[in-house]
Amino acid sequence: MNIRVAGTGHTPFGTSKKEIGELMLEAVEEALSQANAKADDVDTIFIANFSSSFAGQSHLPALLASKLKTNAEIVRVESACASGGLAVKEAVVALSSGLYKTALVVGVEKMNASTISEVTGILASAASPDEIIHGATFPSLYALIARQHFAKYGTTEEHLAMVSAKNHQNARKNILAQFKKDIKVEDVLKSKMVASPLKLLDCSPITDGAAAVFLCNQEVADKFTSKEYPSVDIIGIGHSSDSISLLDRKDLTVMPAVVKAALKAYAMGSISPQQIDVAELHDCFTIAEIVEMEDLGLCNKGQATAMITEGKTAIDGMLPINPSGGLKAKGHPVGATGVSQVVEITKQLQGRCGERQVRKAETGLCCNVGGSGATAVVTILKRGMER
Amino acid sequence: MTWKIISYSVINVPPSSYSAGYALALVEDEQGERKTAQVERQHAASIAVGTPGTIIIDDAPNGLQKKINVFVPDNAGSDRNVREVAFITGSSRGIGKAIAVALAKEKKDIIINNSVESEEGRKTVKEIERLGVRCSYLPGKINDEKQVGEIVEKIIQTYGQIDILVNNAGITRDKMIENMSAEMWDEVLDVNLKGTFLCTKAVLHFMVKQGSGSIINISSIIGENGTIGQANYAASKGGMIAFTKSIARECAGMGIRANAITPGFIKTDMLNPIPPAILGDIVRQIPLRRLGRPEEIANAVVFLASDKASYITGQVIGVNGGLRM
Repeated sequence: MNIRVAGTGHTPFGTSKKEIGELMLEAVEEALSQANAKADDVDTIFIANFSSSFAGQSHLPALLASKLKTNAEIVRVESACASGGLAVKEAVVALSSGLYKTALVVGVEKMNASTISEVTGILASAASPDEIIHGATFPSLYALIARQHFAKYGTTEEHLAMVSAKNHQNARKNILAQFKKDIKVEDVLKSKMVASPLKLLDCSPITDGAAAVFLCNQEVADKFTSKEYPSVDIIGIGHSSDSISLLDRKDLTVMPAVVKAALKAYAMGSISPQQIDVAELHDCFTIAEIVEMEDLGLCNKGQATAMITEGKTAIDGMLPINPSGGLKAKGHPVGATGVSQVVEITKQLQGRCGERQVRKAETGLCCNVGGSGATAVVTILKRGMER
Repeated sequence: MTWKIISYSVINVPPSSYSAGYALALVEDEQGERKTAQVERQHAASIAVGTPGTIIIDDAPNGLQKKINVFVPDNAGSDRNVREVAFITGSSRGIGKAIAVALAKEKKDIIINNSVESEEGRKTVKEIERLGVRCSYLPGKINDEKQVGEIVEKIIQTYGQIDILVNNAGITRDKMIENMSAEMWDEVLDVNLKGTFLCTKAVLHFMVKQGSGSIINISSIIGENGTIGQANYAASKGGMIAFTKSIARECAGMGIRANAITPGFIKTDMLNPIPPAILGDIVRQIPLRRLGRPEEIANAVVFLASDKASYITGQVIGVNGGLRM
């Protein structure tokens, strides 16, 4: 089933003056040019975008068609913060069906056109109606998870701060990242409380940006793969859904959708968690990185904090996590995030990450999560033969 | 039916249409049934995982036609060990002292302040301590940013919080405008207006962190009406009103309210320079036919500082016997 990642594109993440169509085009053009492909070479396109309310622009498929001057089949995919990963999965399914040979995936969000309270409200609309009516915000939902993790496994605010500081330090080595500030553990602990026990520097920011990948099946893979870099294939992808409400989750410290999506992805790729060399996890809030490490089987339940404390998840550690800076510091343009993760892991496996390059990375994993864990997509990529 | 908190979070950055400081909670009963619930701000600071309580069904606070679960902890209303701390500037005597005494009667811990340490100030502290609350005497000039910073720092060190700030300190240097020196102007503006700004700025930092607080600025009817011989005082008090409205807007989303009180003619030393005959004329213009008492200003402060005024911010409350309507 292996699907080739023939090209990647990624705009700078942060505050952009570009409108949403221009952001998509920038990422798409980079991805296509890397694969020496033209718009006409694209059979189908999947756009990941969470909410048209941020930028006041709907009908993104038609907008992209006009920018790209194409009549290709274009579909918009939405599943909150997991929209990007889901769009990649839909593209993989389409290519596997045999109906298409090539597929373009572009994730985009332009959030800075709205005020902070508007953004908070739009994001909160991805929670359950019961949670929304009680005044829930996403920081507060992840705070409920964090407080349970504290009670059950002895996790502390310092552990959360270590995740944030690590990801901020990684982002300093990523030219496309939103934040390059020298954030230390004590800065995180001193930052303003947003939803106790989560502080401002435990939360991912509001970001504009787009990311794109050009995928193709093995039949045309060699035609489009750049000769400069080792080839990278998607070897496994898993997707799972769960109840939208935390109320229905027996154990708040586990995201069953992540567990199930990971098992599917590992099975498809005939691979075990121990074989993962580098991972991009969905650290929308610092606690999420900890929970996902455990749910993906990268460590036992309750053991993530020990790995973090021992520096094992740093770029030079045994299992680097979020070398890009993660959602926390690279930025989190909601619809783009899942695609951006695939871009980062592809570049890591190709050895194109410069200062933040992880050594001996052959197999990498992306975990993209929507809502408070109700949607999860896990993607596993592997480096092919050197040519 | 008893419900217990499984997990909770106090929300300081809420969606629009909510104001900060409430908590979101997941609660469970003995049979293992779970509910999402909201904990109102006044109880949010005293809950923990495992706190027992009851659920009441209430209207959603954002005006939607929906019902929500409100969790009320069992210990609510009892001595929750959560005491509020009030800092009143210019409180060794007069209206400021009356405000301090009234807030102490409401079981608030009190910080007394005036510009220079005095016997009067020390006596006020003793009087307040007899009401069974903690009280500190922190004299210092409120128009000096460094001194204000030190005072607020000491309050935080001792009490860990500031819930109520009453900007009360004020001075007069009266003269008709053509005889008013620039120094007289500066002196009054410096204490009354800049002092209010400096104290508010220093205290806000901590109120924002807490996600709650009430700021009450003691302006004056003179700031609304103007008067002869007090252009500097009137300008400073009018400025306080505009300042109040601005910080009310800036801080509304952070659980902090700000209001101004405009006293009319109140029996304090400040009225001493007014000749008795003129004062008599003034009283005849007051519909309630008498001067106000400092305690009557204090009553308005107690109300504005309390949760009973939870929907009041950016307002100018006249306490003037009807002199201005």
